[in-house]
Amino acid sequence: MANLSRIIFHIDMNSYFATCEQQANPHLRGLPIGVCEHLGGIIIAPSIEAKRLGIKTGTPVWEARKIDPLIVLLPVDPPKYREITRRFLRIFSDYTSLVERYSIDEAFLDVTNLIGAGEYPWSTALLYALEIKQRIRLEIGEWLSCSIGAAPNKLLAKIASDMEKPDGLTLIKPEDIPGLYERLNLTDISGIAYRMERRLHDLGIFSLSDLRDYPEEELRQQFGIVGHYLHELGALRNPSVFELDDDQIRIIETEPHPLKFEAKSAEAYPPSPRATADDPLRTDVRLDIRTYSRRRIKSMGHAYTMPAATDDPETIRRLIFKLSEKVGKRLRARSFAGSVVSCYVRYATRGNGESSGEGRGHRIHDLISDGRDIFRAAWKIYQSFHNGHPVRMAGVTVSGLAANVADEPLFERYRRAKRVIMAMDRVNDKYGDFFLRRAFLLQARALASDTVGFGRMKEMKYEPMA
Amino acid sequence: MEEDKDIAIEVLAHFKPGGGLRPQIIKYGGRKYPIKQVSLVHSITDGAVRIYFFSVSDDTNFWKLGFNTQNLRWWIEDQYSKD
Repeated sequence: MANLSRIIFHIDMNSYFATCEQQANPHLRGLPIGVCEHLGGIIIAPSIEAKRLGIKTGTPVWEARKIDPLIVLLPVDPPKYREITRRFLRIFSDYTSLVERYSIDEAFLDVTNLIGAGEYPWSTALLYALEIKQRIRLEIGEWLSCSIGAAPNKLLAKIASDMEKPDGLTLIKPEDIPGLYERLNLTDISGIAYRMERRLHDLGIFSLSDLRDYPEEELRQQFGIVGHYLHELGALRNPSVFELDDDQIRIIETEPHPLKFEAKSAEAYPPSPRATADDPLRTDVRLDIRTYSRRRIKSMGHAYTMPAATDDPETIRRLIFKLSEKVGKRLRARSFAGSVVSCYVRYATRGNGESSGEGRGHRIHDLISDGRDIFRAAWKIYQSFHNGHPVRMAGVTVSGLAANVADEPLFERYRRAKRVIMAMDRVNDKYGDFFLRRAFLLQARALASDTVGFGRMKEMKYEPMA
Repeated sequence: MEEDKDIAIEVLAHFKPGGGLRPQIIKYGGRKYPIKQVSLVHSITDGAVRIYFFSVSDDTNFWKLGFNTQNLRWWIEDQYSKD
């Protein structure tokens, strides 16, 4: 029988930063560890063992130490994680050219063409998924594990990979979709968080099947265009909120990829604590697929959480300048320029544990990619709303992007500025970011230094917020 | 426990046929430490210079060794001991 539906893998590395550290240092394996940027901040990545104690991503360091005074705290090491990410993406690209790096530790693969028109596509998918797991262990590091979900679309593949962690493997076939409605809560769906769930409750929508059955028109009345997305989510289809365009990417035909490791028995694979005599491969088979397409970059931004909140205007100014320069550099690297600048901050946590933030965007009548121009706009925005409270986090974003903006400025002084920027970029590309920097940033070295956003790998990088 | 010092060290390393480099023994503080396991290798660029980091260990200790490909110097970037 020809395989007419798509098969998408979502591969999610387990407790990634912490697992990388445990891969590097065998003496940390099996211990509760936490990766953090600084001791006054939060745990960016707890190990699987730390999670079992109740330490989660975002747990303040002081609280993690209270839970386990012996927890090993490690500084974030972005080059290490990026190297491992490069390696597993190379493994993924052995199977398909349709690989979407979703974040530093997640990727989607379209393996439809790889599996081809065989008689048992889902069994073949299972074997490829097992092979990928094994190759990660054998070729990158024996301590690294991932959860894989296989399904007909990205939404369902992500749901599938979330179903079993760590070291899970879940397949969802088309005939299994109806059964998901019994099993999933609203907040199990990417795109529906607790705030949205409360609003849906107000409409009498308490379950996924309620959402599926709720008239789309009424959802649109309540939520506008978001109502359409919610309707799609209720039907377990990929909505545009997943940053999918309607255009399908060009399908690249690939040769069938021979399995490198023959899946004869469970002993052929690294042992899993979840294996049982009845289910040695720990499989739980399910569901069905749909279109996969590439998303456009709609904005680029940088945000940074400081070790301690500050109300010093010079520090905040330098931080916003540095973030603006970072955004500008990335825009220019992709030949983008933007016409909307946004600046936002989060203030220090108050005594009652609450924190607040503020932000605004402003459309300017030009397309800019120079960090200094971005800063001018961002600083004006900040000054328009800041209330003097100590700032803990600041972010700058440029949207309204246009690609391949290559117009030559009319006036020499602007052309000169552009040449200077281009020369600075070439030097920094060769010798490292901020090797050459504007004088104002000489005292900003410690601000917004290299780190890794653990959010989605579109062009918006977030550092953790306290 | 963890220590974080850039300590200059002596290293005996094996250059493997077909490419690749594996530290075998490190020596500092008057002691030699045979390397039992190389768990990870990654690199960064410091300006124009490529620096390699080798995550190595024996039965008790872990070291993150740095190697500067320009001046060919080794150092301990980070270390951890179970004791």
